[in-house]
Amino acid sequence: MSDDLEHRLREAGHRLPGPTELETARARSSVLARRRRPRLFPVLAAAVLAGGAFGVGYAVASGGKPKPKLIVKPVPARLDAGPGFLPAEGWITVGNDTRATAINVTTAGRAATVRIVATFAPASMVPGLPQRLLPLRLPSGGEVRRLRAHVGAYALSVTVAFGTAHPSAAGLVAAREELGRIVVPTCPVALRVSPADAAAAIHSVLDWLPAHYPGKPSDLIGATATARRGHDMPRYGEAAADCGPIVASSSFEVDVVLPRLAKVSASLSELTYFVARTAQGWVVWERAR
Amino acid sequence: MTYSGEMDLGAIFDRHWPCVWRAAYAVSGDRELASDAAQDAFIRAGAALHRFDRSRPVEAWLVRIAVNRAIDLVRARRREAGEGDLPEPFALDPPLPDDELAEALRRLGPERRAVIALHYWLDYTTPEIAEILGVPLGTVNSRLARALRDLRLELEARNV
Repeated sequence: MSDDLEHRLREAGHRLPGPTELETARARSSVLARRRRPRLFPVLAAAVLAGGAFGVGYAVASGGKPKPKLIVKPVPARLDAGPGFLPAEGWITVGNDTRATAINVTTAGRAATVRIVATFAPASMVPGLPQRLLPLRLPSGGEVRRLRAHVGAYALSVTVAFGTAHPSAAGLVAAREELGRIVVPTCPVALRVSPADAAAAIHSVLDWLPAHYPGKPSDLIGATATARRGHDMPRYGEAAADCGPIVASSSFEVDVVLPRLAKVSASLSELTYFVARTAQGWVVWERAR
Repeated sequence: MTYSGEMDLGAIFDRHWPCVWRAAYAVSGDRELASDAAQDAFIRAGAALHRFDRSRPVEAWLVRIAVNRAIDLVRARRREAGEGDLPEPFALDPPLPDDELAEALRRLGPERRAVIALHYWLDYTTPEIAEILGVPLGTVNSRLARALRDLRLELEARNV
């Protein structure tokens, strides 16, 4: 019996799957991005200390009351922001285009432990999720609450962790407000495009990339791109599943190749975006790969 | 000798990610949890890489973090689902062709399943498992024996 059981166990082990290419690429990108990202707390603490020291020095020299010299201005929200969290006082947010984390640092002057993690994937990758509009509602429950929904072109998975089974009213309010700051690019109202628009679509992506690419800016040196339109897009099915056939047929799929990364990883060196022309200009409405 | 620099972490990721992910997946039975646990392992490792002694096996270190994180995540999911004494969801994708064994494994619980997975699926020896889980060798041996006993009982009960 024991031998048979051990044989069955080893047989089962042979069928254990590995991570997919997408799971690997996302994790690699996230791990290396975290490695590169400077720690925010020490930077802020150093800045506050420096500001405080300057304030004290100023007070001693002039005899006046020290004034705070450090003003942290939030980055203004943009209509094409996201996916991610809009900046807000009392919250630290980090992330890239597949995962964003918001940590509540103060609630009514007290340290709080609300942590919200949102992951974003093309909606076609997680079929069958319920369609939702923003803002998302905080699910009922205990210490950790999860929700998954199809929002815009994205499958959104959100985990809200309170650090306690009985979160305070202030913590609940803070979490609800922060959920309201999740932004996801919407499906665009796409104008008709022709093959002659391919160059403009490519330029729009290459112009957009430096501000949105989650890796090192130097990765983008020498980037090249090609574009396919509507039904000719290799990923037309995905685009149609994410934002519907009307948007998909009026979009370009722009495939970007990063030659610097090609030496490291073929999968990381190839990026794919869906773009569409709207009344306001070209819009990148999804990173498909 | 210690590790340093981004290239080191990238190279370590490329070399060990599949094994670390599999270990987390074998314990959790959930692709999302496995990715979270394995990713956490590399992020934590990246933060401590400059202190890590290069002469020690880095894979065992990463697997240790990932497996323990996976166990924590499975427990958290159980608590969150309010399942209490019920077994946690353990739905391998693709599913094991051996339905009875899959169900018996699901009922084991994450700690014992971790020992089974590390030993039979990932071919670690019991001293290596003790190192990975941070428990004495005797604990690993007893967990393994009890896990096999429970699996056997469960499979026998299904065949009665």
